[in-house]
Amino acid sequence: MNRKAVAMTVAALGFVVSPAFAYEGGAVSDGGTISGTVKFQGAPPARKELEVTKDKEVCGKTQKMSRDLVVSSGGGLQYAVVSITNIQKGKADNGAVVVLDQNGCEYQPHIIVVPVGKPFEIKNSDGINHNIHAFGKANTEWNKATPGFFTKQNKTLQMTFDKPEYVRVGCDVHSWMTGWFVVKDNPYYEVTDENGSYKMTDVPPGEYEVKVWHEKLGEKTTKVTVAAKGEAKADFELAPK
Amino acid sequence: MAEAKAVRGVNEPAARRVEVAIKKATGPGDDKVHTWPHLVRVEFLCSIFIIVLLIVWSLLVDAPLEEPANPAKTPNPSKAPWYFLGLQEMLVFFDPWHAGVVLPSLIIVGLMVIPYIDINPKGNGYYTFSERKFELLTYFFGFHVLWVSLIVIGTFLRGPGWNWFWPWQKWDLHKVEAMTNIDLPYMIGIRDPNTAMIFGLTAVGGYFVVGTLAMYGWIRWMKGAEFMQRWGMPRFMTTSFLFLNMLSVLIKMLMRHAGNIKYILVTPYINF
Amino acid sequence: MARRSVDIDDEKRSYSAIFLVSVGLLLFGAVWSIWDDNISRRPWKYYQAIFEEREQTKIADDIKQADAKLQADPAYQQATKDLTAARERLQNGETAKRLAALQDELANITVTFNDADLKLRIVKSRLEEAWYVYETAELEHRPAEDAKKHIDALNEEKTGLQKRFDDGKSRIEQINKELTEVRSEVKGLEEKLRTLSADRERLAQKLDGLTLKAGPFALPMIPKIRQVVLEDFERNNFDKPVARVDRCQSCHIGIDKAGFEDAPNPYKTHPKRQLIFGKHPSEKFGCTPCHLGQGPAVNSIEQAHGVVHHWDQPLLQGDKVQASCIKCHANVSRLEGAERIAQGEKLFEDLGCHGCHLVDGYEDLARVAPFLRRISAKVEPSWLVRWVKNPHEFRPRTPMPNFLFKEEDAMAVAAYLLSATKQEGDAWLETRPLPAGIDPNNATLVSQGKDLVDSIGCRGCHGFATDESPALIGTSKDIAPNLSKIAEKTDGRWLYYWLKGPRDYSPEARMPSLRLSDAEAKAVTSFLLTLGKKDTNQELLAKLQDPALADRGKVLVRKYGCFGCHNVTGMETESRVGAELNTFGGKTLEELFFGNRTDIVPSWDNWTFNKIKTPRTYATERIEQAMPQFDLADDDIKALRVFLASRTDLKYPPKYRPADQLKAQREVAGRRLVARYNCVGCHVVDGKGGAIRARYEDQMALAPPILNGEGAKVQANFLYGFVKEPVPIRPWLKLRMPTFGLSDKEATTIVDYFGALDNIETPFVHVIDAQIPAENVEAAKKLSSSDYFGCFSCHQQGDRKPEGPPDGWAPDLTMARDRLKPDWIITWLHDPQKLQPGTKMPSFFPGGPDDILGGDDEKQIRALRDWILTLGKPQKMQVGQAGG
Repeated sequence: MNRKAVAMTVAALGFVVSPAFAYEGGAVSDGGTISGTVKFQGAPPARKELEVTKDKEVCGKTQKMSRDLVVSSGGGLQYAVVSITNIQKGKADNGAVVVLDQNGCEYQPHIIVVPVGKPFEIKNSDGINHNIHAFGKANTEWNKATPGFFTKQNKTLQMTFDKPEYVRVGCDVHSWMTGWFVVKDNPYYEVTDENGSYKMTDVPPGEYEVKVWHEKLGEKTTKVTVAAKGEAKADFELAPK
Repeated sequence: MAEAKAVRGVNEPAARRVEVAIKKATGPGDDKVHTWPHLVRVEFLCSIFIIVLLIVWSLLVDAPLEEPANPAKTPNPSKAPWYFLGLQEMLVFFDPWHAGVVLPSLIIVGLMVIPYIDINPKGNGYYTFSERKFELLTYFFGFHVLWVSLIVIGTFLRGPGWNWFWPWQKWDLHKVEAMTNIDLPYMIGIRDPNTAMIFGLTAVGGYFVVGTLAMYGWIRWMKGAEFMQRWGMPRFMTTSFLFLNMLSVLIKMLMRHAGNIKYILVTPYINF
Repeated sequence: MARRSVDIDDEKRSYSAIFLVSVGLLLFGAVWSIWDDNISRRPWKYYQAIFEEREQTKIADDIKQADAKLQADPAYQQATKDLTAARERLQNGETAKRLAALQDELANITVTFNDADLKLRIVKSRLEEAWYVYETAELEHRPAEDAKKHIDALNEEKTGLQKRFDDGKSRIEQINKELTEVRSEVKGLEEKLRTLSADRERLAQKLDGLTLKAGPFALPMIPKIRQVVLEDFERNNFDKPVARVDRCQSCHIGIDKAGFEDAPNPYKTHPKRQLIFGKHPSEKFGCTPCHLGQGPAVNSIEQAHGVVHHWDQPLLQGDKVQASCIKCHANVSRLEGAERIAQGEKLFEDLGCHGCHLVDGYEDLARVAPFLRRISAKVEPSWLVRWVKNPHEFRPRTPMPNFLFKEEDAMAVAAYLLSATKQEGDAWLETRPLPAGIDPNNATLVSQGKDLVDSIGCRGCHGFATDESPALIGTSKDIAPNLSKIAEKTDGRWLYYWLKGPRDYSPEARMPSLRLSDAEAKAVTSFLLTLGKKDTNQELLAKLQDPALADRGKVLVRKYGCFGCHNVTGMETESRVGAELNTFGGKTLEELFFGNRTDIVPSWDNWTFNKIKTPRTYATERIEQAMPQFDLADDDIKALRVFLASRTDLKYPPKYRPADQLKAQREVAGRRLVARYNCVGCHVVDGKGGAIRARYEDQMALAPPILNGEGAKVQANFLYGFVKEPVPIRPWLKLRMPTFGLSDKEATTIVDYFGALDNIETPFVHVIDAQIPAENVEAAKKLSSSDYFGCFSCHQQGDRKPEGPPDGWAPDLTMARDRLKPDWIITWLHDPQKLQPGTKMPSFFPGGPDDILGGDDEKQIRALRDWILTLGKPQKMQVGQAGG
C-alpha cells in the first residue's frame, strides 16, 4: 500500500469517526421550555372519510377519517411536528423503546417520533396481516409484513432508521392506512395535540431555530431564544398550498 | 649525378639540406612518386574521410523502411532500384521501347566498343585532361550528366505520380500537374498520321545526317585530318552515331521542358 | 629505394596533421556509433533502469512497512526475545555444557564406530575368502577342517565386532536425538519467527532478486527485450499466417505489476489491471491486438507506437482503444470497460446510419424512420414543406437530419411525396371516415384524454411539451416524436385510427397499440388536437400540385437517399447513397479530404469529428457534399467516432476470441429489438432504462416492473405469448403493457435475449405434481390463511377475487404454474424488495411462524412454493401462447 492510499484511508476513517453534527445528551440543570401553538390559516376543508375496502370485520368496526389535515374548532393544527434543528447539547433521550401499533387498521399514533440509529418496534393488534411499507428516500425503502399471528404470539417487528427523515408509511393490504415516522436526531421533537399545542421541556438556554413540519402544508422555521429556566414561545401559522 | 651527402628524410628542415645544383630529372622514375607511402597514404586518408562520412550519414539518416509489401496495393511512387532510376527517369521523355531497350543497349554496346574506337594512346596509367579532352568530356557528359544526374533526379526529385518535388516540398499524393505536351508534327499543323510519320522520319533522319556531317567537321578541326584518316570511317561512324544518340537525349529533354514537345516521330510502332 | 636528384614537394609534405584529424574523426565516429547503437536507439534500457529503481524503492518502502508491522507485533517481539534467550542458553549455562558434552561424546563414539565399521567390513571380506577356500577344498576333496576352523574364528570375531558396531550406531542415534532435543527450542523459535516474518522475507527476497550479485557488488539487472509472441495471429498481405511479436513490455515494464498505478508512463500499471489482464492475460494476448501500434519496434517511442510513415495502425489513444473491443466481442453493450464504444454502436444503430452507409454486420437492420407510403393521408402539406426544409425547427430533437434544402427544393420533395403516395393514401382514407365524438373544444373530453395520456404509459416514449424528453437516442435526440405541436402536423381522423392501431396505417410501425377503446381513442385524440395549431399556406398548396415540381422532387429524393431511412413509394429498388464505411477506421491522412478547412489540424480524429458535426464542411466550389446535418451533441459524436474507428479490416483468429459467440449474438439481436421498441422507456432491462419510473418516485409500486432477471423468472413459453399478446398480471397498474404486434421471430428473439442475459441453459419447466410432498401443501395452506400470512387478502386465485377494488389486488397465483420458474419463486419469497424495490409485496421472511414446519423459514418458503405451483391447472396449449 503506497503512501497516498494510506493517507486517503486515514482521512476517510477520520471523516467517519469524527461526527461533526452528532447530538450529545446529558443532564440539563437550568433548562427552559419552548411551547406554542400551530394554527391553520383560513377555514379548514372538511375531513374525508376513508373507505374500508378489505377485512371489513376487523377494520370496519370504526369509522375512519383522514388524518392528513386535522384542524380543531379553534384553528389548531394537529399532527404537526415541531423540532429544534440546530441543537448540539441538551437533555438525554429517555431510552424507552418506541412502539408503533397497528390497531383497528390504523396506525396508532398517526405520527410517531423514533430516534435515529436506535431500534423501534412495530406491533400488530388486529390479528390480520398488515404490512409496513416505509417510503424512505434518505433511508432505504423497506416493506415488511406483520402477519396475523403476531397478535396472538405477541411478536413485534424491530426496525431502525439510519438517517433523520420524515418517512411516510403505508399498508399495501389496507391502502387507506397512512402514517409517518419522524426520525429524530435530538430529543426536542414534539407532535402537536388536538388543539395544535406543543411543549418542549429542559431546553438549555440559548438561541435556536425551531421548525414546524406538516405532511400536507410543508415546513416553516422561526428563531427562539431560551433563557435559563425561562419559558419561550414559538407559534406558527401554516397556510394551505 | 651527384648524390646528396646522406640519405635524408623529406621532413628534415631545409637548413640542413646540402646545397646541390638542381638538375632536371634524368633517371628512370624521377618523374614518379612512390606508391608507398605517398599514394597509399592519400588513398588511405580519402577512404578514412569517406568512412567518417558514411558513419555520420548512416547515424543521421536511417535506411527507409516503407510499407509492408502488399501485392494488392502498388506503392506510389513506384521506383526502380537506384541503378535503373536513370532509365526510369528517361521514360518520362521517351517511348518505353526506346528508353528501356534501345538506349540501354546502346549504353552497353557503347561501353564495350570504347576500346575499339579510342585510339588515343595518351593518358595510359596517369591522369591527364589536356591530352584527352574530347574523350573525358564525352565520358563526363555520358556518365555524370546523363547517367548520374538522372539517378539523382529519380531518387530525390521525383515523388508520387512521378511528379517533380523539390527536396523541401512535402510529397502530395493529390498533386496535379497539367499535361500539355503536344507532338511536334501536330504542333506544326500536320493532322494526317502518315504525313506525321514521314515528317518524323525525315526529322530524325535529318538530324543524324546533319549531325554526322557536323561531327565530321568538328573532329577534323579538333584533331586534324591525319588523325581522321588514321581513325577511319567505321570508327568515326560508330562514335558519331553513339555521340549523336547521347546528345539526342539531352536535346529531347530540353525540347520537352522548354517547348512542351512530346514526340517528333509518331508511328503506331514506335515513337521518338 | 630509388635515389633521385630532385625533391618532390609532395614527398616532403607532412600529412600528420590530417592524420590526426582523421583519427579524431574516426574516434568521434566510433564513440558516436556506440552511443547511438546502445543508448540512443535502445531507450528501453533506460526505461528498464528507471523502473528497476522505482521497483526497488517501492519494495524497500514495503519492507520498511513490514518491519514496522513486525515491530508492532507483540508475538513477533516475544518470539525474538525468546529466541535470543534460548540462543544465549545454548551458548552458556547448563544447556551449553550438556551440548558440549554430547558433542564430545559424539565425536569419540564416531571414531570408535567408524573403526568398528572398518574392521567389520574387513572381517566380512575375510569371511568371504574363507568360505571360498573352504568350499573349494570340499569340492576338490581336500581337507577342509582348517578352513572351517578359520571360518569359525572369523565368525566369532565378526560377532564381537558386529556388537560393537550396533552399539556404536545406536549410541550415535541416541546422541543425535538428544542433540536435536537440545537444539529444538531454538529451532522451533526460529521456525516461528520465519512464519511470522514470511511476508517480509518474501519482500526481501524479491528485492534481492532484482539485482545481480557479483561478489560484494549488487549490479543492476541486464536490460533485455521482453516480448510476447502470438503464433499464427494474422495473415500477411500474401495470405500467409504470420506470428505477431509484441515488445511493448520492454519499456512498459510495470504494466502487469500491481502497485504502480500512480507512476507516470511508461512505468505505470495498466488501468483496470485486474479486469483487463484477468480476462486477457498479457502472455496470451500481447498488447497490440487492443492498442495497435508497432509491436516489434523498440528503437523510439514514435516507432513503437506506430506513429511513423507507412505504419497504418498507430497507437489508439484514450477512448479510441475501445474500438478494438468490438473486434472480438460481438456484444460490447454488456462489457465492463467498453462503455464508449457501446454508446457509439448504439448511436450508429439508433440513428439509422446503416440506411445510407453500408457497414457489414449492420446492413440488415430495419429502417429507423417512419413509413411514407401513405403520407398524403397523414400530414398537412404546408407542414410537410416546412418539415423537409428544416425538421429541427419543428422538432429540435428529432433524429431526422437537416438536409439544408432551399425553399424550392423542399417544395419539390414534398410535392413528390404527396403525389407519389396519393393513390395509396386515398385508398386508406376512403374506408376510414372521421368518427363522431372528437372535439378539442370539449374540456371534459380533453381532460379525460390528458388523464389517459398521463396514466396509461404514453409518457414512456413521448414528450408532450417542448422540453419534455423521456426517451433519448444518445444525449440529445428523441426516440419517439415530441407531440407538443402535433395538431400542426396532422388531423383528428388520422390520429384516431393511428391510436386505435398503428399497424393499420403502417405495417412496420414501431409504436404499439395501447388497446384503447373507441371512447378512449376519441378522448386522447381530442387532447392531442389541443397541442399546436394548423398553419396552412394556401398558396403553397396550389404550387405543390405542379407535376414538374414533383418530378424534380423525385430526382432530389433519389439524390439525397431518403429511402435509406424511410419506406418511400417509387424508391424500392434504390441502393444506399452514402459511402461504404467498412474500412473507414483505417483511412490514412492522404485519403481524407479537408476541403477549405485549413483551420483543422489534420488527423483522422479531427476529420471525423468535424464531418459528423457539420457534414458539408468539406465542400468546396467544385466538390459538393450531400450528407445531411444531424446536430448531435459533441459527446455523442465522440462516441460515434470510437465506433467508426473500429471499422477496419483487422481480423483476429478464433482462438483469441471468446468461445461463446452465439450467446453474444443472441444478446445483440435482443438488444436491438429492445432499442427499436424502446422497452427501456418503461422497463429497466439489464440494469438500464426505465425513464418513466421517475414519475412514480413516491410510489414505486405504480411503476412498470423491473425486468432484471426476467429470464430466470418467467417461463419461456409464457413470455413468448405475453409479449405477443399481453394479459393482465398486475391489476393495480394503470399503465398498460402495449401490444407491439411482434412477429414470431421478434418474440422469440426477445425471449432468447432474456434467457441469454441470465445464462439460462434450458428455458422450459415441467412441474410434476406427484413429487410435491403433501406435508408442504398442508403447511402452505395454513401459512396462507388469514391467521398467518393472509395471502388471499391481496392475491387473486383464479375466479376468487380479494375484497375491495382491483387497485388493491395482487397477481393471480394460479398463473404461477405456467408463468413463473419454481426457483425464482423461492428467491422472491425470501426478499421481494430486493428483486423489485418498492413492490407492494412485503417481506415475510425472516420471521416465519414458529409453529409451522418447525419454524424453519427455508422449509416454509419451499412449502409455499410447492403449493403455489399446484394452484394453477395445466393449460391446454393454445396458439399464440406457447410458441405456436
